[in-house]
Amino acid sequence: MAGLCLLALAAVLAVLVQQAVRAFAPVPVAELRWRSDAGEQQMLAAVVFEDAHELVVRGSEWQRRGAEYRRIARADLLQLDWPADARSLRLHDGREIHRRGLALPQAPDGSRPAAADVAEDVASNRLSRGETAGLMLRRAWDFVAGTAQGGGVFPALVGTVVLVLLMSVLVMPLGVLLALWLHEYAGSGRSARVLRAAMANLAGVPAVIYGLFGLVLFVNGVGGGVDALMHSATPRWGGGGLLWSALTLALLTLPVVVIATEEGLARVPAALRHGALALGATRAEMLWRVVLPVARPALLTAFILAVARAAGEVAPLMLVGAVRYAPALPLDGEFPYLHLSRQFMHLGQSVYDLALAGGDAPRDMAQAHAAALLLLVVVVGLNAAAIVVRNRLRERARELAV
Amino acid sequence: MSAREDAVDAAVMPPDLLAGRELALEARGLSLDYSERRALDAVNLQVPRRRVTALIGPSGCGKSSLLRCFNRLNDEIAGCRVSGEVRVLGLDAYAETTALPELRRRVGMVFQKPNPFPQSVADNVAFGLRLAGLRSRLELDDRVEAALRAAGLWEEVRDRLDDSALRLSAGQQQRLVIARALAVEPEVLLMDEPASMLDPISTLRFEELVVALRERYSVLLVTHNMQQAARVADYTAFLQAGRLLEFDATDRIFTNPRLRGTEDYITGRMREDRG
Amino acid sequence: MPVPDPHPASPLALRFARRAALRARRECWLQLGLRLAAGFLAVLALAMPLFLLGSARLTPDWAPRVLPLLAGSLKAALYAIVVAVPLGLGAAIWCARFAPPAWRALLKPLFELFEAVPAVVLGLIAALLLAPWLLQHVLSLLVFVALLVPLMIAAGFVWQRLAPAVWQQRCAGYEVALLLAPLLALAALSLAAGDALAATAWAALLQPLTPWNGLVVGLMLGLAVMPTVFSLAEDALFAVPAELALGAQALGATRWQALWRLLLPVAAPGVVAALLLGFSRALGETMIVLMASGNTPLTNVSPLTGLRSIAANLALEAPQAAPGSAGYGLLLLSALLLFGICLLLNLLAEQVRGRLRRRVAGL
Repeated sequence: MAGLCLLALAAVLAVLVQQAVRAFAPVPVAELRWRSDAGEQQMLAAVVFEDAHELVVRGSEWQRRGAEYRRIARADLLQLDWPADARSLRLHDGREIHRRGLALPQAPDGSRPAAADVAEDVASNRLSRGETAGLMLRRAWDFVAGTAQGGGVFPALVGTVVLVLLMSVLVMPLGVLLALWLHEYAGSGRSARVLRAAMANLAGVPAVIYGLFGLVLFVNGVGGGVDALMHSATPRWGGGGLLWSALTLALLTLPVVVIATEEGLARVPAALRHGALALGATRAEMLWRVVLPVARPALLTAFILAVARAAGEVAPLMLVGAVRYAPALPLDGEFPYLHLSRQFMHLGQSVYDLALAGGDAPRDMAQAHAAALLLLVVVVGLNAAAIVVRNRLRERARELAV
Repeated sequence: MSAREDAVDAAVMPPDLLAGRELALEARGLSLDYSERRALDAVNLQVPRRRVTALIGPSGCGKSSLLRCFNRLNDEIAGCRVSGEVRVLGLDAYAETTALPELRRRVGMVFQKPNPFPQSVADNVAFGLRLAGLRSRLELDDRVEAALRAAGLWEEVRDRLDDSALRLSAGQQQRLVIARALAVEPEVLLMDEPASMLDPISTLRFEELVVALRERYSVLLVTHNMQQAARVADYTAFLQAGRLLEFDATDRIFTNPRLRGTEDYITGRMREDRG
Repeated sequence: MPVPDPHPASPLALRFARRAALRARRECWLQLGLRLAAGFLAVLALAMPLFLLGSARLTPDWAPRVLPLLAGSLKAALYAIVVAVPLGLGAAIWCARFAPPAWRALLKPLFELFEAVPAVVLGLIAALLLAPWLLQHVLSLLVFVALLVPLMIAAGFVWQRLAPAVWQQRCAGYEVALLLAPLLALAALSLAAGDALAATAWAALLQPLTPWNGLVVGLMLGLAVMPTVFSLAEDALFAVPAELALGAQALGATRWQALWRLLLPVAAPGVVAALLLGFSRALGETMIVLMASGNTPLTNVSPLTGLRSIAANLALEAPQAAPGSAGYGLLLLSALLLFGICLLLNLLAEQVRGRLRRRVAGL
């Protein structure tokens, strides 16, 4: 059974990698001639998909990205060549244009793309293996570091990182204080028991409910109130934004931080606490100078787990501020640099949007898989780091206890 | 004078034993209850100043609990209640106005298991000093050295002051925590079976240290080891089942105990200890 | 009898005395901070249901608009549990009782990692890859599941009876690895069988009506919930002292008998808690259902039709709903319903787990 589980999960990963690679693999370009209702047609196009019955091809996208897909039945096909001098031109906005020979192609309306707009010019049918690998690496890098219009996820990446850091700034102090209260001060009294139960139940509340709570309390409640106070005509704080999202995620990850921190506190040997107290330290000094330094790996674990949880969470963000396309980054060179009320893009949200968007389905879906792979690597990597740190803490606690 | 005499049962302690001595610690009618059982029952104990007093008795008889009343470390244990009077250096330890940090500074404690903090040797010794707000490197270094010398550890660790304290041997660690306690200039030292984890040579060194400390500190030493009590203590108290049964000068209690129970315990006829 | 001077005034003692007030003040500040944090938690725990309650509204037409969502949530969670429990519980039993310690040390964190896989990634795979594949191969899946248990029993039987004792000893603890080959063979076989059966009349009955249906949701949601079930059940099973099983085996029970008659009953509360928490998680999971269920509000139990769950509905409609409108009120009502059910499940699981803890403590 365990083997079956692992197999299933390994399959998930493998499928993701295989699909993500498609987003970057070069597509061969064919010279096609076929019959259609409008008579015989001819076209230079990239062959996106082919099976025994039909082809799906993508012609030169002069108008907009994703507008030139054509489905051609094999029966209608008159001619299919793979010319050696065929080249694909990719523009910065993600459009692809095919031509033969090196000259810049001419659009149906007579204009030519400016050389500055060209991101990539590849001889699609003549790539050696090394060239293909290099091309794919370059495209993968463009995907990670490129803008949203060109199909890159850089804005989403920035949005995710800023969001998660802001969230951890909010949640860490509160979570650590709460863990200290629960573990060091509250004892086993009634209020401690009640709050402990509350914490356990908060951990079990579905994430989307946190999102709704954030929407009701922060966006519509506080944000709407602030807007009303400032008499602003357009909603500034009364819409979803970075701050509200970070606050919502902070509430969502609070139980994670508290539970991980408490585990670390519980592993600090009582002998060390008593040693500090017996020297005349106050409880605050004992905690600050002995307990917290020893539990530092646990704090790190808590931080990483919270970040990983927040980075992978999408549902609550859909309600409080993550959007499909944000015109500006939440962090830029303009005062006040960090724009707390701005809407932002998020990696998880991008996966969702790319997967279900209609504009340019074949490319978007492949990119959705690439974005998902990126997200998976980030989140699973963070979690693995947390596990390693935690194991080290346990070993150290064992050393201290011996 | 008469009040103190009244508090002490003549059967437990010869009335003139501590005549003319200053008292470091004193418990009067001290009872201690954990949530389910009584650990100490109306104990009257006097610990003289600048002497080593040993507490002996079978395990579970309440020795450690008694010890922890004098620096109120029992406060840390949930469900632990104390009644009766505890005087530390003439002050009521359980009074409302007692500042715990100051009380605990003046009453140092050494635990059964060495518990150095996971910091460097020097930082361990300087821990208490930093609490007093000492920051100057020079003064800290001087005081750390003095404390380590007093604990007889300086020669061994002078080149390893910045090493982790956890890398010292058990005997060195135990002397390190003594140095840590001495650094804040306590007047009383409570020791809870401090040598039980040490090898014979470390134990010997430790006992020499305790004898040397007697010059300046009042020491209350809990021990399982009869020979150790006989070697280092001036006075010995015998505790059994939460009651103080006998208190006398060490040589008298080991050569001529007045109670049968004490004699049985000392001669090993009822040694169910070492839990 | 002279009483000692209570305050011998050494320079260090004086410094301590001078600093005492400051230190006491810091202690007070810390306590205040901790109390505030605790108060915040209390307020948060209270505010959450109260805010939902405060904005929820019961309009006359609430039942036809909310109940199908509830039905969708329950259906998705039910299928998820049906998938997650055999997988998670089986893995937990093997891991806690039969696996070599080294494997256990590796598997536990591995499953934790799988628990951390973002739901949106699983939802993506369910929507774009699993759904179209299942549309073609429902029968193959059916054959695979139907033959899985017989295959395992047969493999165990063959191994016990026919394999030389030397092999058995050498592979002790690692038998599971040997199952891999028969499993792969079965997968290939059922794929072929499914394709062969596709032409029969049965196939038409089992043909899903949409690519996004209860089956897809159940499979992927089950996979998502499985690590939760695994780690809770594993903890419960592992907490039962090994001596108990050894004792039973010493009395002549086989390992399976020891498991069925002794361990599972003792660990049952923990396993039930794992079930409840897994169900609660499946109910609240949003992204997988949102992406793979088709989001059609149908009320039936067929795995071949789509569904719309409360959580997915929230994610779809809440961003557009105008505060104060009737739709907004109904959304909050449905959220309150979800919150209540999850809370109930969690409380129940906590109770049951407490029972396990007492039972294990008594052993």
